[in-house]
Amino acid sequence: MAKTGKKAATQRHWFKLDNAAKIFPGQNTKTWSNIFRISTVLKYKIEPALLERALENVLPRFPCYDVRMRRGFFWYYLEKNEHKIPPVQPDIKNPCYRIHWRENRGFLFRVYYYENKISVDFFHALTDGAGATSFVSTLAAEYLRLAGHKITPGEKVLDLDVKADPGELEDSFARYGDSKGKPRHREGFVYHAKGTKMPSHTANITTGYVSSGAVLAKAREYGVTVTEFFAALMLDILYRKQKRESRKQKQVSVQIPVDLRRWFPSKTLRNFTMCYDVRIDPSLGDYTFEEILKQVSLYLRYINNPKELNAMMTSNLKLERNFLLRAMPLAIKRAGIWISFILTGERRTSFLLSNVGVVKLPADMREHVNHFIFMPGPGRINPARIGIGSFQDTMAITFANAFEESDLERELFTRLVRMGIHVKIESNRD
Amino acid sequence: MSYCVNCGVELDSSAKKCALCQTPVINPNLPGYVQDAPPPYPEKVVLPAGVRRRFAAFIFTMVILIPNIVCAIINALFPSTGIWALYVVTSSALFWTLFIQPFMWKKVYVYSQIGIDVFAVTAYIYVFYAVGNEKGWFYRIALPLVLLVGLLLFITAVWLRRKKGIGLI
Repeated sequence: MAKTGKKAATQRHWFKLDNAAKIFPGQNTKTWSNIFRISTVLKYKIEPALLERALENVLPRFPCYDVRMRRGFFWYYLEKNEHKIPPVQPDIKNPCYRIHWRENRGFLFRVYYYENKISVDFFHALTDGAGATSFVSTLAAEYLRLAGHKITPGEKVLDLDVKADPGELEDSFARYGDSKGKPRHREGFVYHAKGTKMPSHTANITTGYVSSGAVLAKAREYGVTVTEFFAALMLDILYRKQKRESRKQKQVSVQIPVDLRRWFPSKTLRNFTMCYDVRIDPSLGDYTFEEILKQVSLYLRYINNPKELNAMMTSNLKLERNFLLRAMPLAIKRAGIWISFILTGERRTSFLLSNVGVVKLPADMREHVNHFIFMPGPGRINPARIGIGSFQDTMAITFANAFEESDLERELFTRLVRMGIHVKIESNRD
Repeated sequence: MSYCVNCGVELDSSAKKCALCQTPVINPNLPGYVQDAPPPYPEKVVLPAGVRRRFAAFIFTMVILIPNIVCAIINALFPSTGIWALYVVTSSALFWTLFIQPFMWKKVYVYSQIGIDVFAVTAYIYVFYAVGNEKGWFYRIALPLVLLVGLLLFITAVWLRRKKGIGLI
């Protein structure tokens, strides 16, 4: 039990950080944190007072988010926050700026509203895209209920009348990681697109809305999935950008997080994802788009299976359980995580593509919701960080770019247009 | 509803220019954008509070200043003991220049800092040279060595900065 100076009976709940979350506090700097945002756009203008009440009703159902970050001697841990809810704030132009343990009443997520949109910025140590979508959906459902609509719980919307299930709060990595195998590592330098960095705490955000049906049809035409299609499209764009830019050709790599809940039955609302790294190597010769598409799709299908994922999970767990590492004080662990993050982290990848998939809502809620937007936080060295979220027939492709140039976004969306897919653009650029 | 003539994408009704290529929205028949349509993101930018480095540097400066002033006063009161306070003051000044002064600026000026450091170290060594009796070593050994180290630091800084986004300096 964490020492809180209170007796056991009244002691506040606390959590260990889950295995994936352990690295995120160590990566924090005064200008950058690993943050992502989920927004839902309703059909009505948001009333802040109502949203605040909805948040008060919803947060007790998610004890794993009702926490603040604490420093122990050996590890960071999460402890129940003494405040009721984080402030509900009007939205800002520069979402996903760095998190600070003492700001925002200690909460590790920030709630914003703007016109019809409810947005929540999550620190990645709390949860992944799947958990966050569930939280935002439940929040939106409760908001709609307070606004006088009848919404039954189901799908992503959790029932507020039942208590949180222990399975929702568990570290599923620890439950499932039991492999004897070793994960495969991919080595070599990768390409990082060049550009002019935006000032600290700001980023260019561009969302392109497309029809899910049209994109799916296009992907089917090539015989691939939507994630594979976009991964190949961006790999192709960056591969050609590198060709134009420099004589020396490095590998181009995409980082694709996969939801492990698909392979390992788990209800957890905390992190349960692993990242794949798919690469193309220009030293092998010239690629056409079709070849890249084939390479990405075949590689992902070959590697995306529970055995490989389990080996990856287990190797991370081994680090956490290593006696020497456990015995190190937090400050040394932090320094180690920071150095490894600088040397590997984003350096191993040219861009990130995260697809939270189709957000499923109960039937009586669907008519009140326009769409969902998933946005990864801007990167430190890579300009392209792409989040995809779909709801019914609207797919929102969001590009968080830490660079001033918009050539990568433009290339992606104009290529979709040339493929005959209608794209609507929304951006925070002036 | 307007489309970018350059990119072919549909734009937000509030957009005055294309977010992808900055081409202005011009429609000869209608105003291209809806005047009072809310933009997709608010105008307000929230910049979080920075760490108060400059304040901390100021406090440290004050803390270092006190023993130096005390030493200088005592030395002035007892001039027969030699000018020992000079060593305390110059050493503190060097320490301050190397480790505290860089935090007093809002930004990191790498090249200026290298220049300042080289100058401070040279001046520090020169004080000892001027006080001591041996001749010649300052110009023959100390100065070239300090300048060489400074040059190496300068080259390293240039190299690290040219490697884009290394994130260290």
